[in-house]
Amino acid sequence: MKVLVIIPVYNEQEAIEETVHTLTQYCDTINKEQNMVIDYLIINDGSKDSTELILRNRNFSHVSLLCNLGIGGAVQTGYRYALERGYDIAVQCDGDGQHNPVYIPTIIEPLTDGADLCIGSRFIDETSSKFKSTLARRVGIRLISEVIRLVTGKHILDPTSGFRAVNRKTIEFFSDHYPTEYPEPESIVELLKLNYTIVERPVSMNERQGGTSSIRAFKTVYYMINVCLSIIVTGMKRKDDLI
Amino acid sequence: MTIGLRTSVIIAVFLLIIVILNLIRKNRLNMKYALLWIILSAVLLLTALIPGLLDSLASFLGFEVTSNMVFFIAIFVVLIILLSLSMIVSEQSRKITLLIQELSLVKKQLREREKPDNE
Repeated sequence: MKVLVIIPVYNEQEAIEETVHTLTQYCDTINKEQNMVIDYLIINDGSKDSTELILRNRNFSHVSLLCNLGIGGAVQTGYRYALERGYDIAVQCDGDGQHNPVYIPTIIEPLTDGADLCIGSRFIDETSSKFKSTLARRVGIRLISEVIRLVTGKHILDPTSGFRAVNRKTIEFFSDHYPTEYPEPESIVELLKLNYTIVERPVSMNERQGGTSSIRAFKTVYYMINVCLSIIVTGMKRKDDLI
Repeated sequence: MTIGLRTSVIIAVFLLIIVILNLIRKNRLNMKYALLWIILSAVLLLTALIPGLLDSLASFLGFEVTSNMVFFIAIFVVLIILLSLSMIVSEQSRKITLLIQELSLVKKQLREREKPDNE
């Protein structure tokens, strides 16, 4: 089974080396133990700091986007790569050290049982993650979760999690259709509307080691209104519009 | 409409048409989008050539003052044109995203070929 870990980065010079180091070390042990090949691909989304220099000097496997596309366009590049090179599973993972690679098997496992997307979730139970983000963010995530339930009838506890695993079928879908603005919640709604199976598994997340969240404007009401609106609009799309 | 106003409108519309045709000639405006502007100028020309056309249309539609109707229609048409421009921009940004993604992937492939021992 070929697995690709997609790591979108934007100005992550402080954290990227550590992240890749932890990941490759862990992947080496897994690759030997199990019948699995885990590769990784960093998508450098037009970073303005020395991220690109580090990637080149350390010879990390990476794609450098010619201009900044935003998180959605960057992640989609990874899915296109996964499709082209025939990977069976793709895992999305942040470059700031928030997501611990030891949970990769945890979120891959449901895919072998027929799930199309597995989300690494912070909110499944109290013990699953000590770090659960700030109160304001938790309230926001809860609200997004409720809007998704309103639109699709399904309960997703951690819709903004950027730690997710998908199977080949979803890789194909994402290569063609990946939302640009609020990719995580929007893509969940699209998949649910097309009757893909989405499951969540508890994971523990660390605090970011450097850089800033892609959801910089999270506190502002503007972000929340926009996300909710885009979820509702996506919910109103017909199936033929999505394919 | 006074004779003076009619002549100035006609001259203005002719200038507009000349500018549009010139832009098409120099490949700075696609025929697809130019058609809209040509039709628009033709309508403007028509209102200037046929006196009383605007006034009778305004009273038919229930506008008390003709200029109100002219402003209303003009703003509405401009809004539609702006909306269609937003649609064109969205479509183009989608295509540009695709181009950047594919080109960046191809560049990675090239890099791998040049240095096969790496990565």
